[in-house]
Amino acid sequence: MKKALQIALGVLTAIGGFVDIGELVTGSEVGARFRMNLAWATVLSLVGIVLFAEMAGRVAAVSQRPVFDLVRERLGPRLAMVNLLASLLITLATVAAEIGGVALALELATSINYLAWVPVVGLLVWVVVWRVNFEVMENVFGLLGLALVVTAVAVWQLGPDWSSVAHQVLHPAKPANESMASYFYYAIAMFGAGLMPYEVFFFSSGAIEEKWTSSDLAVERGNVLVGFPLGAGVTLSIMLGASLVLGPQHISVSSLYQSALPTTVVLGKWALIVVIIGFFACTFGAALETTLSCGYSVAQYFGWQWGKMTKPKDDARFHITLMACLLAATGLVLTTFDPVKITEFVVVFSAAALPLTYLPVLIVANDPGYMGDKRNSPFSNAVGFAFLAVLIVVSVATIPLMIITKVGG
Amino acid sequence: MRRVSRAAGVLATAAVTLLVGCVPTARTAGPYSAKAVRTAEAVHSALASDLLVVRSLRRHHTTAAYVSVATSAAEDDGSAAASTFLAIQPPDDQSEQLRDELSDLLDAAESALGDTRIAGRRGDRGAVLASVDALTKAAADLDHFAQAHS
Repeated sequence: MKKALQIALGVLTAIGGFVDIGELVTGSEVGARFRMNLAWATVLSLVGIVLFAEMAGRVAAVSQRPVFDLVRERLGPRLAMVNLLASLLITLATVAAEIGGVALALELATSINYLAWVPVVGLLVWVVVWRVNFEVMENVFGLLGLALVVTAVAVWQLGPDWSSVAHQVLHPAKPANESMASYFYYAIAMFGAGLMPYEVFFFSSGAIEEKWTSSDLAVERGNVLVGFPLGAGVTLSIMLGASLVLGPQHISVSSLYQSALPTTVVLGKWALIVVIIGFFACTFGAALETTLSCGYSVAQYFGWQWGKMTKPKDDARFHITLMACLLAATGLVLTTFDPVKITEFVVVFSAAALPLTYLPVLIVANDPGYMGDKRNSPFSNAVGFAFLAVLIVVSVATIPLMIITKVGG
Repeated sequence: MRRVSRAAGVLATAAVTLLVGCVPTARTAGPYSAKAVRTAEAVHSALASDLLVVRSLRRHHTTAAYVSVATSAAEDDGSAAASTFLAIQPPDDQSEQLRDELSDLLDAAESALGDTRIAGRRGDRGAVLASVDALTKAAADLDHFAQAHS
């Protein structure tokens, strides 16, 4: 019974973890412009996150050390430093995007300008990170994030032509009015949105925080194999809703309010309120996860004491890092740089830096010294290395496509 | 001292280069026309968003706060696209005519978006609903413009 509850809660967390500002904005934008012709990018990112989150969680549960603690030991301090800097910069920008996302959700609820909410959100994130129990934090925001299931209800109410949707998903094609470069640029954006580096840091470090051991591997796999696909389902619902409501009106998505429009048009006021709650929960949950991920990665690299389970006075450097990252991210949003634009850049740069995050996970998960008989199976390795090849292609193509399309065109 | 002034010179040159790089340009009629079409489409998108919001409001499907934020954001998006295009120097006479043609449509669109935003921010439901005709006409005109020049 306890295990079933653990799986249920973990699943909820994974849904919330998969859907964040990246999926909300990019999913709507892609749905409106490309209909469901880029659903494959979300499905591909789902395969990647399931594969690598499972590896990262398994490594943490078996070795009792988070992945990036092992990365430095295994790859050496210099290579690990490159990894740390790249992932930290992206995760820091993601914190800013998520804080901006929470502020935008609050603006939708109150009509008070989002910039007024930014310091409040920064403070709230810090209070939760400082005071709230890890499991409570994960489960509350994971549960509230489920509110976004209302987007699937809206799609059902819209009654799409499912054969046409299936055709777009299974036989994807570039719309006539879009260039091939834009098509692949947005494919990379969707792919990057589903595979943000912080998701692996958080999953791995969270396993240590929750004191997982080898006996928890079934729970870990349950969370990954059910939670992330459900999160991807929510993302696809947002994409489909946008393709059915915004696409025919030739609306291009540039603000968070437009992501709520399909549900609002179809289901009404209460659904709008539920969607805004979902936006708030997903972005706030992701703000917590990204902030913690910044602290985790720095503390694990330098070998400091870290974790929410430890008293702040015993891991002062970890908490100072969290505060510094929060201040920097809050400051970035307060420069009035549009959070949606930050998000668009973050998902694309995430894609460019993916091999730096995922290659070490694959190496460590294969190391019999750390993993014993729980190292990767030949099947996991085959899929893992094939996926890594995809990541490298994506990484190489990202910046040229960004330049050619002038950031999406 | 000389080093400092040289560094300042390099920085100033870099700043000027960056600023020049930020100014949208179109040296020939073709790219200018393409930018005009993209601007018309972007402003049309803002108008279409407002129309969906108005439709939701008519059916009591939305909240006053949401209408206020959505109409403000739509106006911001429309104004940003319009001002970026109008800042581009037309490369020849034909492009100048195109600019004049689009400029009138953009003025009408910005006016419709602005009126909707004012009504939305005031919470004046009747005025928001009344803005639908101006929004629809501005959107249709921009749609025709985009189709005629693409």
